[in-house]
Amino acid sequence: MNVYIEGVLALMGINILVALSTFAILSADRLSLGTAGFMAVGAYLSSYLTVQLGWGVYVAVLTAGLAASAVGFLVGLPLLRLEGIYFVMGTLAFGEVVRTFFLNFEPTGGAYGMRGMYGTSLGMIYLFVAGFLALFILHSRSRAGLAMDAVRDDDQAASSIGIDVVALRLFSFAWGGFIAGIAGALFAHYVLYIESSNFSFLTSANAILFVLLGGSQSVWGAVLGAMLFTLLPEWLRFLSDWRMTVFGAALVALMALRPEGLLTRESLMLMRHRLRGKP
Amino acid sequence: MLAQQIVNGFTLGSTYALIAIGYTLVLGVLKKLNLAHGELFMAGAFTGIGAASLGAPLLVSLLAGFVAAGLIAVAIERTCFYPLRHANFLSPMLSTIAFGLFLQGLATQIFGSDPSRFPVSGASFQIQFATLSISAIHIVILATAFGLMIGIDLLVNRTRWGIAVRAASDDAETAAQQGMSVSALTMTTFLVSGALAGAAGVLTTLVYSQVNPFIGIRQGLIGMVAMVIGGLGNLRGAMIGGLAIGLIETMNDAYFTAGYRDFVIFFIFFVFLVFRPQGLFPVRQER
Amino acid sequence: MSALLELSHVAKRFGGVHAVEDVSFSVEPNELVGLIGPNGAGKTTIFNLISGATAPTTGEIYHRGMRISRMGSTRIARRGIARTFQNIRLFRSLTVLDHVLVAQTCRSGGSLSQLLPTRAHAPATQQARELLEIVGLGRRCDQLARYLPYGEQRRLEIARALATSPDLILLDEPAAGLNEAETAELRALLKDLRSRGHTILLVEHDMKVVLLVCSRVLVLVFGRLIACGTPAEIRSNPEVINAYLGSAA
Repeated sequence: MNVYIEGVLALMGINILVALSTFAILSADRLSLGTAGFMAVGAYLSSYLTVQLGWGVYVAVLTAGLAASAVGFLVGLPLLRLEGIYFVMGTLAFGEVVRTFFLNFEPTGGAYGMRGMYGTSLGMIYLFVAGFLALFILHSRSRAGLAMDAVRDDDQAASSIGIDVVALRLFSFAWGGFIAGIAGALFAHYVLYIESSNFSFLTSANAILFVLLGGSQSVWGAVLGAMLFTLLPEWLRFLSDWRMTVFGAALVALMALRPEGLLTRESLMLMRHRLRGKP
Repeated sequence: MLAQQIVNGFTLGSTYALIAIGYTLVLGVLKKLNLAHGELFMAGAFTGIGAASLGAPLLVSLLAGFVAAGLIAVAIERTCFYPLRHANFLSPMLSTIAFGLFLQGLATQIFGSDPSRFPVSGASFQIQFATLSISAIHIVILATAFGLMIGIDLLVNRTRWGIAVRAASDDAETAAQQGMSVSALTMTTFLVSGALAGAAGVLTTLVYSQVNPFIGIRQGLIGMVAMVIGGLGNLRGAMIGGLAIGLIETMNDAYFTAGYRDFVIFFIFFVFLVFRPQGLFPVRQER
Repeated sequence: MSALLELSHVAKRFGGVHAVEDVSFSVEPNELVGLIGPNGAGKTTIFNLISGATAPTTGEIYHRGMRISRMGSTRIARRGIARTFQNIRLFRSLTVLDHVLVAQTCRSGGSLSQLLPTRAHAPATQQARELLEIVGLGRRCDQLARYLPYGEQRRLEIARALATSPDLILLDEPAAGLNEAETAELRALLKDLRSRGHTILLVEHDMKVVLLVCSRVLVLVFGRLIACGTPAEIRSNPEVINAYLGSAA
């Protein structure tokens, strides 16, 4: 496989993870604009562990992911008892606090960024992708998945049947943090150099757009959105410069006409039926 | 020296206040955030620069930015909020994220991603009071911004439109009874909100004289911080919040490390959201 | 011997509005108690207070002797108090069977401990189907709840509440919008549930349902309980007739 294709696939894998992180939180009816913050925690911590402390990559990545999820839990505790709007702003604030923190934090390079990470492989990235996907699929078929859907459909009714809405959202947030942390760590070890501007609000916004485009109702939508966002600019070279403009406009139109995104729950059910030969 | 910092802080803060007011107006009427609000600031800035580089005088450039941003804001309302008014609560906000990216991309294509400058023209003078120096630019910004703030305050508190806006913050149907459809009310609110952000954009370029397509991100965020600190939904609180942030930023740069400027601001933001989400001046029911 | 549910001088005030004022009553096991009153009398507020959707301004609420006044809806649901809603609140992306399955997790702990069992959990699914049979929705298991006709949606809400294995069920206007035939079916269902040992507190405007099915009736007017007794007593109570019944009964 040539280097160029490998690079695109690696980026796509990381984008899929980022989309999964966003999807996890969005499924609980909360919008997080702080994905980049978790990625930064994962990226910088894992880089520090491997470069400065000589840890192995797998251990470092997983540790960084756990750290990110712990941060998610701590940050989520106060934020999730607030209304949705405050939560959005809180995650925004969190993302910016993390970014500006690392901009100034000398031990991880400050404004000069961090380098020296040795690479992960394509295989490693997709191992994580496959693993997380499997967990998402399992979850969607379980009662916990039903509880999540219930909370998103009507959180008061969900509460009236004993579902702990706040706990569920807290868990989703920490889980999303874990995935984003891993994505950040893998990103750092693939591109070999990171700086705080890699983890800006734009990064978080892009993560949202992956899920918006592909479909916010199922995990496959998140995957599709990440794939499209990564691959389309490569296939349509001329779009490269205008990528932002075109995608932005297209998404606004899509939201107005089909807010559930490309892959809706019903279209997925239809596809499943066709594949099994049913009418 | 301190007095100088205070003047600088207020000057900067007054532009932040304008952004915050715009955010608050939309939040009050729709209970949702326009996450492309920062891009309205950017659009106003670029329009002002564009007009000025075509030779327009300052006032005309200001108006150009004012109007352009206002119109784009209405476009945002029509495409992101109106079609999704019955959809999931988050959907319109998500759409505005996309719209923001669209505007950033558009600006990059039109103006390039290198910083643009505002062609400073004509008179610039300084007034000196001992160590305090106030330039023409300070005066222009302070006068315009405070003028707009007073104007908005009067508009919201003394006109029928303002009553409708404030009523709509409680209940859209009551607003309709003021003789204005919910649709018209929403559009005009966006128009004003955007115009203020656009004005802030032009004014800020006078101070910093450098803009790029992505400044809207930070400016929008700062406006949000000011809004929350002042008290979500409270217009006068937003003004005070904006001035406060301007002061904090200036003080930080003067007496602490400039590099930590945003860290300090966003950290304060986070602390407020966690411990005092209602802000310094919580909105009471006593309208 | 404490009652199943007890309200003691409960009041709920919103600013200057006294939605509920000095309400005290109790519900014994296996009773079917009706709560009636004109619109705006505070009936749904009382439900919201009992189910934990909101907390009383003053006064206390006890469930099996324990104070639940400020417990919050999740904990109260897990203690065994289930409810339906005046304007039906179903989960639009879930099927009929799903509604029951997800409600079953109520008593068996929080959503965290139920993380990864799959839906192929046979005994629970079987129980769910049986429950749906009881309310008459056995054929509808795999349909999306939001496409059900109105009457069946109401019954699904009841099934969902039953699936949490409650010892007290709060039904908020279950007959609203039902036609004659459906109302008769509802009355039959309520009697059936009672014979199975359930305890029900019912808010209703349809007098036929209340007077034919309830063992005891409470009358709420402007937030205050003005009468309490058997259907026969209530029907002939002059205060009640003046304040509410008029010629409705």
